[in-house]
Amino acid sequence: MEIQKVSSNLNGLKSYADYVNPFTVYLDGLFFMVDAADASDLERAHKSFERVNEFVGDNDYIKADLAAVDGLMNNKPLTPTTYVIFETGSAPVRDQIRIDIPTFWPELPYLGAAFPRLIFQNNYVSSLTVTADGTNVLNTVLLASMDNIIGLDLKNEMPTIITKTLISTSIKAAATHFAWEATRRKQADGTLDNGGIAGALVLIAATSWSVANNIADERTWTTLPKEFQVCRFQTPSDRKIDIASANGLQKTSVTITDGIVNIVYVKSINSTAPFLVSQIRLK
Amino acid sequence: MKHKAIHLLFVAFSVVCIIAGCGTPAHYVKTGDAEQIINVGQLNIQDYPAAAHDAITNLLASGALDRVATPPAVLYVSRIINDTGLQIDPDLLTKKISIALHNTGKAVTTTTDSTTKGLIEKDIFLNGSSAGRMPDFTLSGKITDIYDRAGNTTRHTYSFQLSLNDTKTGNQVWEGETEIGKQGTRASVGVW
Repeated sequence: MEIQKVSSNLNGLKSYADYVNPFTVYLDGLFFMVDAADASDLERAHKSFERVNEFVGDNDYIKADLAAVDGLMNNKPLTPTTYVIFETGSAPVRDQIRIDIPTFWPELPYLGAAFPRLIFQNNYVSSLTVTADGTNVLNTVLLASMDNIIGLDLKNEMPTIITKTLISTSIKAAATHFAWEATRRKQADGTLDNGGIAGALVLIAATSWSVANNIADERTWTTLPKEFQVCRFQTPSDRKIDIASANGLQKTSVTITDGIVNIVYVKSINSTAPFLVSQIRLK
Repeated sequence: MKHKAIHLLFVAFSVVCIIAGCGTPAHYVKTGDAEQIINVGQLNIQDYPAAAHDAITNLLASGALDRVATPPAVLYVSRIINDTGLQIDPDLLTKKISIALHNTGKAVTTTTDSTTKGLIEKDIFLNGSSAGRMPDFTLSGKITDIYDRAGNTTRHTYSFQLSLNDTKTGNQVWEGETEIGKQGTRASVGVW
């Protein structure tokens, strides 16, 4: 029952595909569209945007990107475009479910196992509202959920983790038992004085070692965000945009730098922290 | 004691042999050799020359390139649509076709090099016209992937569909299709 609980919070996650992050596929499409050297680069960009569209579902921004690639294939140049990429929240962290079983069996007083589980971070800005030209109001939409990607990764890994943990528990139990058994045998041979005390010390040491090492692997990449979102629009003539969180608590104005294709990269760690804004000129 | 030492030496030697035996030493291979890696779910390097060879043989046999007023025919390589779920570089197919056509002397392809295009534009700007010739044909096509599955066995059929289009009439003067089928258990890789 405890083992079933380990991955129960991963069952409702939407899966993309193994080892696929739609955000990196999107960046691949963006790069090969903007910096295409020949027709095969444009074909690659088209395929990347197609794949992202399949991963994330119906998305008007990606449809506009596909139309832009089609335009380039027909010698129609890119129009001035700004992309707002929004990195919001924090990736899930790992906690552990620890099972400690006192057996009340003198030869093996303790058995233990620990399994990792994900704790999702829900203190985040759900989306951004971008206002361009004072009237053009757009919202960022989900491109990649790191919750889903990391959750799927752990879910796939879980059978191996459970097997390795159970093997480790068995080895520790066997080592404890055989150490005690060896002490007992020496006591019976008469080769060990105070065999009873030595046996007890062996059991205390082995049990302490098992308890101290009963920890799951809790290492995670904590600087990753919870979600990557995107929004694209024609660069306004005054090159000024206003960015606000969906709850209206954070607002900032950005003047877009020179360029035909620009990225405004907005990072928000949680729902109260101020935005970190940077810009990249792609073309 | 002596027996124990020999036993330990034997175990250590066996472990070294097993570890050493796990790797394959690096060596050169030629595309199309007997030694090939085959993936069911993707196109391998030997699949492109096979499809290109099939297309060139059929195209030359059709005689379509011979029916131009002033040989060699000028060919523009247009879009090869990738209708598979894979990232494919169409140049792996089209480059082999254009190299083979150049070598026959029956066709030349228009350049995609931006520097050359810039020089032509400069020539047009300075002289009002260029000595360049409009393409007689365009080569277009599509690569598709049909996927079938029964139990644990999957089959991918990749179809390379190519068309030669006459730029004056708009007619397709040649069409060719090459199918490459691969079958195996899921996620299997073979060495043939």
